[in-house]
Amino acid sequence: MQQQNIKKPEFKKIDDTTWEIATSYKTGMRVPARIIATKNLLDEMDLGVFEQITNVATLPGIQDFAFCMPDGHWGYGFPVGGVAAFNLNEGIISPGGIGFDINCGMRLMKTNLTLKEVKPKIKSLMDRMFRDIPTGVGTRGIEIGFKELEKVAKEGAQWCLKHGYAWDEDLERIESHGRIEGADPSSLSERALKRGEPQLGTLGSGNHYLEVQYIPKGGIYDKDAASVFDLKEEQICVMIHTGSRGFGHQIATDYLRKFDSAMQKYNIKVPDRDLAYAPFSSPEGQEYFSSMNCAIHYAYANRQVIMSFVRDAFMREFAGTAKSMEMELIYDVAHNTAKVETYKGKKLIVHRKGATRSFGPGNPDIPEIYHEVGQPVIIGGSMETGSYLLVGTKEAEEETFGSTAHGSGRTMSRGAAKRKVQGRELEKQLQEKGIYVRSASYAGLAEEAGLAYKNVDQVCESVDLAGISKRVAKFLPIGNIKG
Amino acid sequence: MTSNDKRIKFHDDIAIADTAFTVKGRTVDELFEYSAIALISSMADISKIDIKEKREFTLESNNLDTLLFDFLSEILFYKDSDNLLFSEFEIDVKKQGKQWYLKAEIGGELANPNKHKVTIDIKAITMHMFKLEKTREGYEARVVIDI
Repeated sequence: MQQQNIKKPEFKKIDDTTWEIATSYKTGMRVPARIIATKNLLDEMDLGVFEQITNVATLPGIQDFAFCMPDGHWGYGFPVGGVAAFNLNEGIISPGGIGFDINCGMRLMKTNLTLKEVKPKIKSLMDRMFRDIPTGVGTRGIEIGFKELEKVAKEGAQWCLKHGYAWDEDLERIESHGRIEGADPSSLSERALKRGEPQLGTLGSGNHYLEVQYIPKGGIYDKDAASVFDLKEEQICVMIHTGSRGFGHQIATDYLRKFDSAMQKYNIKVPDRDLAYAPFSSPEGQEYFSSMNCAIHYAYANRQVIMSFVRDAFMREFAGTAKSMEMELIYDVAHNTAKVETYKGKKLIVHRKGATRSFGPGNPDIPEIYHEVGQPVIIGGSMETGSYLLVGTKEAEEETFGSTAHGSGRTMSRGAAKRKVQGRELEKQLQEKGIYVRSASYAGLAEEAGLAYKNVDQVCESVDLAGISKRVAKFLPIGNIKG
Repeated sequence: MTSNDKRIKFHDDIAIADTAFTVKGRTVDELFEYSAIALISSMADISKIDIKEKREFTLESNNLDTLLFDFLSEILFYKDSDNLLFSEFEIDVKKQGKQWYLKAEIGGELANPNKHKVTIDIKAITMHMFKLEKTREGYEARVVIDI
């Protein structure tokens, strides 16, 4: 459906950041849809978001509400920013509710270095990392072979610990400790294995990046929480945004096709073919769930291997070891997943597509060191505008199935961005702003220009106002590697 | 091979975060061939890709549109598994009974981001607004790719 053919819904204002679309908007809606956003961001949302989130509300077994976060934009099946929880018995699992890049996510690592120490060496540091970290098309990751790849799929980030890519303490600081139940490599297709084997430890392309950042003066929002994370103004951190590469893309493709055919066979109709699903408890649903969990593991391991390359690069550029520079992982969050979680005593399969888990203080699923403040939530902005660390809240657990936003969300097409700005010109502009960028492609760089994205400050303000996560610190880039 | 062919049109307005194209072909074989050209042209300069390696494969499907989906997905599979980009596509699509069959021989070489002016990687073919239809002139398809 073209955007101009979509009927703009009437929104019922629940509060300043919650807007409800009633079930009367569309035939077949089982629950209302709720958009979490300031009025300003709601008004800026493309109509496709409302079309897609109300389609999600028609799916069997959906609970309470279909949610869209403030960074929402038109996706495939679910909008990006979509969150929906389904009953395990009557409910469904849908690749379109997770995304092709399974467990695309964010990782934030701190150092004890300051802006003053790193800034003079930023070119040499970024050049080294651009050389050492496989980026873009045509690069290969670490050589592991199929046998080890199956172990990665089964063990996740724990595989990295056994093979020297992780420290003991890294694992507890990864969502689900980098390993979840129900990942059986025997469910994987040969094609997924073949596609994933050459790519472990690669950054990829598109909106994936690696950034060296600092906390600006006035960039701490919550001093107490920041002290738990040992974060201060002018401190250098590293952020990594990537996912499960071709391994996850193949799994999503395989099951989108399988479910599409199965639905034709059983005469199940969905408003959009990208919403193809299987009942969660069916053999097909369980097979996809297992393969998808393997891809979740692959992505945790991928970001972990890349982080180990970053530690190596810092050790070569600065006088010190990764331990002496306190290059500690703060947290690693997934933003394209479906996970079994318990709400009000009921086990549900929670789909988050371009949305981050946001568990509050004391939740048993977050590391003990963060019990007091809540789960770290990492929201990446465009390469020009900065990023945020937030913490999850009890309110998110009560209101949005423990979910919050994941990034800025695009507002401009890739083609339009390229017409507005040229890659080389953008590189120069960024350099003038003090951001040194290395990119595998100038055209790709232009497509990711800040002007193509929503304002990350407004997105984070929205989730803070909504109470579904709370800002702790803001980060600005001084160096960026873009795939 | 060129993407500047009037049989291929790229669209900005269909998918904000990604890329979409429509392709026309007088025959099914031509539609598939130009869809592949459009796919590769979305990520690289196809005119710079020499023929040094070939891959042959067969596919079958009970629908022509899903056969196209699988064919394009196959090209992405070889991109990641064998690191290959392609510029030549010999396609033979036939219908036997209710089933569609494809035989393909595709030629290209190892991806070289500088030589091939690679701009972006493609993750997947989507079903978003995916369409293949018979027209008066032949066939037309619309494809949205995930970047």
